[in-house]
Amino acid sequence: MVLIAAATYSVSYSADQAWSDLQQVSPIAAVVVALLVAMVLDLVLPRRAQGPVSAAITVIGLLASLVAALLLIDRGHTAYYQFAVADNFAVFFDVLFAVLGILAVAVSHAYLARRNFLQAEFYVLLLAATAGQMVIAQANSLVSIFLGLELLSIALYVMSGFARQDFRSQEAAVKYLLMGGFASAFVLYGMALVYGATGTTLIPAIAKSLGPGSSTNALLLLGILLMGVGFAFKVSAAPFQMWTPDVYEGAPMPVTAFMSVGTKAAAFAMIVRVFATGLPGLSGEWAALLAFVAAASMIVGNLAAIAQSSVKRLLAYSGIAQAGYVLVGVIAGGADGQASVLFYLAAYLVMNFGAFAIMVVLAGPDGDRDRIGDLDGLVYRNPVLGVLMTVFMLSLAGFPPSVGFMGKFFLFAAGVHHGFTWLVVLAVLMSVVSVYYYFRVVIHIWTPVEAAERRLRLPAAAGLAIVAAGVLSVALGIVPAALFGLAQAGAVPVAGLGGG
Amino acid sequence: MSDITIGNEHLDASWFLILAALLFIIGAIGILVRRNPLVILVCIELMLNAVNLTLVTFSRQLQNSEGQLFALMSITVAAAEAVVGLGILVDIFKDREVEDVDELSELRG
Repeated sequence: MVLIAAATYSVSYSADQAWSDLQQVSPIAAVVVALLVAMVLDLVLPRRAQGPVSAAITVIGLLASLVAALLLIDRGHTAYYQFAVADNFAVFFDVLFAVLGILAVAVSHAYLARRNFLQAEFYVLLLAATAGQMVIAQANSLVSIFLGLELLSIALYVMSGFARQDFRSQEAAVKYLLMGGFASAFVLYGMALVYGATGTTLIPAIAKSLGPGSSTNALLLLGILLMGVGFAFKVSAAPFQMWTPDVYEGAPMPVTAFMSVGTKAAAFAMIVRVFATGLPGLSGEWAALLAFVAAASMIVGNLAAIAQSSVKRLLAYSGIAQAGYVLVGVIAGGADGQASVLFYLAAYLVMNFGAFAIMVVLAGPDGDRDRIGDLDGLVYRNPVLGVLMTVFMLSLAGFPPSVGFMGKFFLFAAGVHHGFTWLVVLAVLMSVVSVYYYFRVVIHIWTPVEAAERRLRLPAAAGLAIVAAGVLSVALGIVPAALFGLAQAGAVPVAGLGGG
Repeated sequence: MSDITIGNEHLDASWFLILAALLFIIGAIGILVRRNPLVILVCIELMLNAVNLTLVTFSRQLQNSEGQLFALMSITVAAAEAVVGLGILVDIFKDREVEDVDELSELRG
């Protein structure tokens, strides 16, 4: 009879240790506390007060989380028997997700009231999804990555179906649930096989266990392949992108805005952590897999976006293409490759969230207005929104002096530097194609409307968030050094990977 | 090393892994060929449980408790996913009977 040896971990766990561990995950803890408080207050408060109070608690929790993350810069280490880590890479993503959450609350608040949705529940789910994203960012083990991934995904399944009267929203939830569950099973099986091949789930220990014979270990290679398939699903990269346009279109607009950035950034955090940090010795194998996925995403995303008549679907396909560009940085590897990935994800946060936030403001009480024609004459109906939507589109297309241009520049420079010139050539060609459909949106914004349509009212909180995103989209493009410095500080030190 | 002992029976660990792989493949094929959303949900659960079997087998084989820990986490997650999944399906069934996921076709560009 064989007994499992439990001697791997020391049995004693002191109070000091508990406190120190808790400090390392304080950004997550702040979000979870806010979630619990919001959930309990939802039960005791009168119905009218629920919305504003939950929103306030959510923002306070996210601000606390932001501060906690900033305090951890350069001071983080592993915690909870190495299952979590607060290195600068994790802190960079914590900050990104906290900012995303705050922007999402600012944009959703007026929308929820206008469409008469349950407000407190929405914020609780938003906090749960944010906590999941942060768990992924701070994960240092396959187990914690899987937990974070599921916390994020399950909250998003419910959020996609949040417009319960709307059949399209329900359909989006079912599709996301079935596709997401399928992808999760692949990720989990891949993780199980990697565990079987290396004997550990801790990412640094996996990296250490890789020997010269690892590249012929069938179990390990199959594990990498299955995880790669699952991650490609989550990051909505081709050929596993088919759920993305449908879910984006069906989900309520603020949810689409939140998940378009959130899932992508979280999935990239996961890809860099598992592949670049955990499997550096096999970079040739996984880079080949990801290069194929990147090329397919850029082609499929950009070509399919041309034919779309819904802004949601257009941005969904554009997001698939953008995932392809970011993968170039992941494949390039090295400190510059990783820094370019972090920079681009921050850039993607401001420009893509900004674009979706404007679509949120456009929504009516009966539903989202996401036809391209709904943008006709936007600049005359509300000059601020019109100009900013133009800025976001130009930034997504990669025009200087926007942050999108600088982001693409860093990604492609890293790609060329590490010898992936063919991929960069393809990316540049496909970016040229993308100019066509981004400009289609811009043309609609500046098309004069015949009848003097009513001016568009801009809620204060949403307006503030959109203007902030717009200012950052331009400012970070003109002065990218500050953000790029942070991104460089956030790149994970990778043992044994080329570049540096 | 790769032997797993249950009572007085000695079995090679690869049998457990092959069984798990078969269950996983059956689940995956089920998702691809069956059209009823409830059956698809059941297939996802089958896939997750196949992985749990894999994890526990590796844990036993490697004399390392991390795999069991992982399996416990994954069981909890699978339960949460099933609850949310059934909730979403009940919500959509209240509006209309969906016996075929291909009926869910309002979202198409």
